Amino acid sequence: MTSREKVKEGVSPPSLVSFGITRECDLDCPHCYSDSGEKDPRELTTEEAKRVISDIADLGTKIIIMDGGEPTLRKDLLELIRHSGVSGLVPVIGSHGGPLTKELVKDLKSAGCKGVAISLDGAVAKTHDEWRGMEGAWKGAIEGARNCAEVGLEFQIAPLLHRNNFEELSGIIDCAKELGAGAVEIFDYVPAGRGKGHFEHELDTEQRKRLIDEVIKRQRADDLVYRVIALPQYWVVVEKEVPEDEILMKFTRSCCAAGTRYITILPNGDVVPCMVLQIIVGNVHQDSLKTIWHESPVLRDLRNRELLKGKCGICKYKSVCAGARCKAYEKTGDMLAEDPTCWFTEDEIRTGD
Amino acid sequence: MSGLKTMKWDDTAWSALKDAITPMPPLVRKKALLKIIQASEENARDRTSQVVEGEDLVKAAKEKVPEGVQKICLQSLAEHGIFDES
Repeated sequence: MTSREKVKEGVSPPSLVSFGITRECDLDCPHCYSDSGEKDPRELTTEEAKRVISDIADLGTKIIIMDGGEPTLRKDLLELIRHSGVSGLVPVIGSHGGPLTKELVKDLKSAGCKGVAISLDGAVAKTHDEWRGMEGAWKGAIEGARNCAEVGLEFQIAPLLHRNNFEELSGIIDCAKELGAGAVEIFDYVPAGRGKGHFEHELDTEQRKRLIDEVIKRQRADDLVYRVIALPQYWVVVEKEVPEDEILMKFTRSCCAAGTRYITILPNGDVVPCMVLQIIVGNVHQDSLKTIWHESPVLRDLRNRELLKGKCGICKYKSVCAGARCKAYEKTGDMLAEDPTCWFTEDEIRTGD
Repeated sequence: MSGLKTMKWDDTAWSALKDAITPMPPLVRKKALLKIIQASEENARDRTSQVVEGEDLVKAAKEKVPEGVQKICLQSLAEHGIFDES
């Protein structure tokens, strides 16, 4: 099969795979996409997890992010990281930061871990701790980040923005810079997982616009890498407002890659297009990841931007934005419906003005 | 016209390059971007064309960029239908 044929069928490999290696977690966050807490009885054994990692590598993937749950609670984490490296993947982990002692960070680095994403949902402890359900969680995240900086393991700060911490965005970014983070990856809250149905936490349109303006302003001013997740309109605004050379040299596009360049494996083995677009397309306990990636009708439809409906279907930017498929699905039950949170008028997106 | 370009580019080729480059971390991307633009334009001039086409970009991606970046570039070019791996 030629590349063109492959592309027509939408089977270029994912660049990034999230692998939730455990559901176990000591925090109690209301938005948790994997509804973490106790260990899942279907959690993969070490050998099963290693087989899945090999499958991810065979698919042609570049980066594997091991998260959960809290991945550091899994005793074989270092072994899985080493296996990822040997398989040709770039392994990184997503953690709430608390368990990242200096010793563990050194071990992670020695095992071949190339980076850590640390969740930080407040510029001050109170905001973060209240949302995350544990006093001291903020302090743990900050100390974990400091340990990464000290050991020389690259890390990024990953705030989830919701209605009650939005005003702390600027403070969180300042904090990330002070800590020495290499990137800030900002998540727009999506009511999925444990947050399913909880639309009251969502940002409103004005907040989303301010988020984008703040990130563009920051990205133009400094060399920290900014990524915005679950808000693909970010890239539309970037293309409208930022000179092309500056986009090419500094700005990072990251959305919406669900099922096109990205896929998620949940701790029970279920495979979903994205951590916040939880339509089960298979399970690695019984299905090969390669078969799922190549043959799932859901993934095939996600890759075909011509199937998008409503405003997204006529949008000039659909190849780079496509709307947040997760938000369309959570609001309407139809993953191909127009993004219900998109504020652009039909005139703006038809003409690109 | 982008200041990074010194020649006219075919729209599809330019879009493919943008799509390949923008998801990469900026630190990785800057050098590769400058190198690939320069090499593509040289390739176009070598065939006495005033417009940089997909073939110039494919040749530049194959010959002038580091392996890791090369894979992503060629994949993007394939997605735009201007490169065939077979």
